[in-house]
Amino acid sequence: MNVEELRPQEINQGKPLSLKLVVTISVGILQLAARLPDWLLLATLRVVKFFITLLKQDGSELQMVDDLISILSTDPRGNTIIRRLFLDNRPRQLQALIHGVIKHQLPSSNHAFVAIAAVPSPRRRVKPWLAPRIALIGKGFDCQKLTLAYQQTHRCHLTVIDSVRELTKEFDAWEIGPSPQLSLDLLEDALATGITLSLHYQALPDPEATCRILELASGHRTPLRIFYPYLYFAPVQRLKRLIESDEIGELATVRIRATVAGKGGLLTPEPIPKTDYLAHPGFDHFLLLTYLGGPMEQIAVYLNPMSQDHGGQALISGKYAAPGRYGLLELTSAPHLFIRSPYFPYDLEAELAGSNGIIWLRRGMGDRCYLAPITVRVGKRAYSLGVESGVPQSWDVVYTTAVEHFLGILAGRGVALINDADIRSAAKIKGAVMAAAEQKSVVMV
Amino acid sequence: MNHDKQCFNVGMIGVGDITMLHYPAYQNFDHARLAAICDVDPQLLAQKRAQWGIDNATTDYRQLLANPEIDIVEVNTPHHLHERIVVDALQAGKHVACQKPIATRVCEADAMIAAAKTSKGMLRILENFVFYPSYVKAKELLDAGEIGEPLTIRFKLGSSLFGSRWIPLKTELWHLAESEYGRGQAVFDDGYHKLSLAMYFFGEIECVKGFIDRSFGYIDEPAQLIWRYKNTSVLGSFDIAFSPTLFTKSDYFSADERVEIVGTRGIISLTCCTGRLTDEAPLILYRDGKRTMFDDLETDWQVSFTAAIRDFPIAIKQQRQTLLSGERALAILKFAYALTIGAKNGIELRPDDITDELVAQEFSLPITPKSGSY
Repeated sequence: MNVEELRPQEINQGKPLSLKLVVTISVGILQLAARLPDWLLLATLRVVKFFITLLKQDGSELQMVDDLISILSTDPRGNTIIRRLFLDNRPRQLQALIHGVIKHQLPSSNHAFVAIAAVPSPRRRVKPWLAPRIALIGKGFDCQKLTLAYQQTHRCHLTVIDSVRELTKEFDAWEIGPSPQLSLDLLEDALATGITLSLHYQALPDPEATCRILELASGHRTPLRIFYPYLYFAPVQRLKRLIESDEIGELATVRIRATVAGKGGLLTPEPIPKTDYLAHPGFDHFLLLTYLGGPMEQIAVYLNPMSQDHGGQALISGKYAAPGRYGLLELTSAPHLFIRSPYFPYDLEAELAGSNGIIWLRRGMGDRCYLAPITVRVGKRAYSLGVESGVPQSWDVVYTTAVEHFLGILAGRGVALINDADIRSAAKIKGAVMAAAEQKSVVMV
Repeated sequence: MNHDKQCFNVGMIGVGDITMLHYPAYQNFDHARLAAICDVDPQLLAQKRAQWGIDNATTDYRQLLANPEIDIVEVNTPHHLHERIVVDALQAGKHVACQKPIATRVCEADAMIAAAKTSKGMLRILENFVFYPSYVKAKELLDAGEIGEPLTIRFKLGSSLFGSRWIPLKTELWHLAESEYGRGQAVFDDGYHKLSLAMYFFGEIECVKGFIDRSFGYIDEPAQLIWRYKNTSVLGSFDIAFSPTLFTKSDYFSADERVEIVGTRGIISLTCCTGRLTDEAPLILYRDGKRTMFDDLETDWQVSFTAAIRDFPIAIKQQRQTLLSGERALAILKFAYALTIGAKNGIELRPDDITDELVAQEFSLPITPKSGSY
């Protein structure tokens, strides 16, 4: 694909300054700073460091300022070299450098979550200087990864528990993974007492339970976060942003292909039940279907048995509530297919077509190929979003992002990444698929 | 009928827009030459006569059929006229190549097939996608087991208004009008090609379900259709999106056409046909962690017409059936109607259950065919 320039970032939200003027001013400031006496320059850098620390706790900017302070204070030759970099050059060179930094390298808001709705503040507000206490219960790969991510963040007290009896109200939040011990009453009780919940998308047994828990959370005005890995996968977030910004116009079709391959991952694929396979993590992408296209009204389904050894396939097509929009979830088990993956060899691709263009999502947990994770073809343009725009593609980032998101909710600055209607619809579709496969007609959901 | 004739003489009945893709097939071709043309539009006829240098031109197809020198007849007329002309041609002992779709009614197709059985001539329905180089290659790869057991096949059609040559408005309006009779452009007319491919790859269809929307009142897009095959566990899908302002470069029609076949061992991706949306290789085979790009395949849509048309005289000489047979073409017709009627009513249908009565009932058509203007 031809990679074209991304749109230049706005410099500020107010009156737009001309880029040329900003560059000129910036160059002037840098050259002035290069002429300052050491004590004044160091003091300025320390002030800059203070403000960076306020805004971000880590990052390469802080490291750069620290390095500058160190060199300027302890290395006379280094001090001279750095000053001369800004003073002894062709003016045009420095202008071009600053111009490029401003135009292409300033932090973009595109990496932020696509907020769908606000999340109520936790009723149990944790004081900012205290770390929230979180209990985690559940089995499975996602729970293991979340545990690791919580432990690595050092900004909460995580307790991994085995029994629901240990899920007490002393905790500020519960991170609930799939667990046979769960009951709706337990969750209702937690919400009623203001415990913030994070619920794995496969933790609830059926659509009725899902709808009920959403109602309870809303009724008690207690934050409820549904954890589904793809909501935290940066390429999917970018995809959502593109849809929300009408990049491809009116969205018409959403097609998702999910394949459980047999080879290529560091982990052996989880067993696929022969008939009731919709809950398999390689196939359970009903939330992605509704996240991208909205609630569905009707579905038409063909299901075949799935076999880990011989393969299998299923097609779930549907009509979205949005006029003129249709979707397809295509599931395949391909036992001899190789999908390179840091974990399970689960392949996922999506194609979204709209009135102005098409977006392709090229990967999920697995990386079938080294193409950019997102490719866009719109109007007469084509571009990709991947390594060049800093889109994180590592699957591990899903869990660190999810932990950051939940900690943000606990701190009262949470946003919802998916709305209740999409969650309900996904649960209803999943619940209706088996019956729909038997029907000789489309089925309302 | 002399099957051993060195070079067959071809008479073309109907010289409309699509025949600009037929004519090149007869250039520098030893097995057949374009010898006569016919069209009811005298102005168009005169234009083609001059353009192609064909002296033998008539507005009455019967005159063409009566010419003993003509061995093969191409029928490129509006669909509702196919039956009468094809049957007459077969009864006159000619070999007949009829443009897709075979007809608009099951009874018409039945009549054509019956006439072919008692004729000295052979009948074929000209559908060029099954001769498109990357699709032919894909079939070879499938048959060789390159992707293991096939699991799913997916067709994608994205139609656009920008990127191709100007299509005469009259042609477009005719297509739009046909949609009122269940013969929409995306699913029935252009869709015929995709459905033909669907059967080319995996055979007969058991049942279908799905959704077809309507844009701007007449365009049968977007759509999402799924089906089961009779003799294989493969599941098929066809999604259609109307992307009017997505520039899709094409020398013919601005259509983004893709096919993806997933198997137990690999994936075949076919990235283009009529139009080119991206610069990818036309066929990509993914298997064992490697992608093989088939960059040596010709992608010009004209190539498929040339291959399709040239195969007919060779098939006649070899006394074999070429694609599409009348029976296959009828099966595709029923497949298309099953999708359209099934989607209209939100029910599953079997193509085998499609009858003219059902079609007429759904689209308020008279059961008896209307007379044509030819």
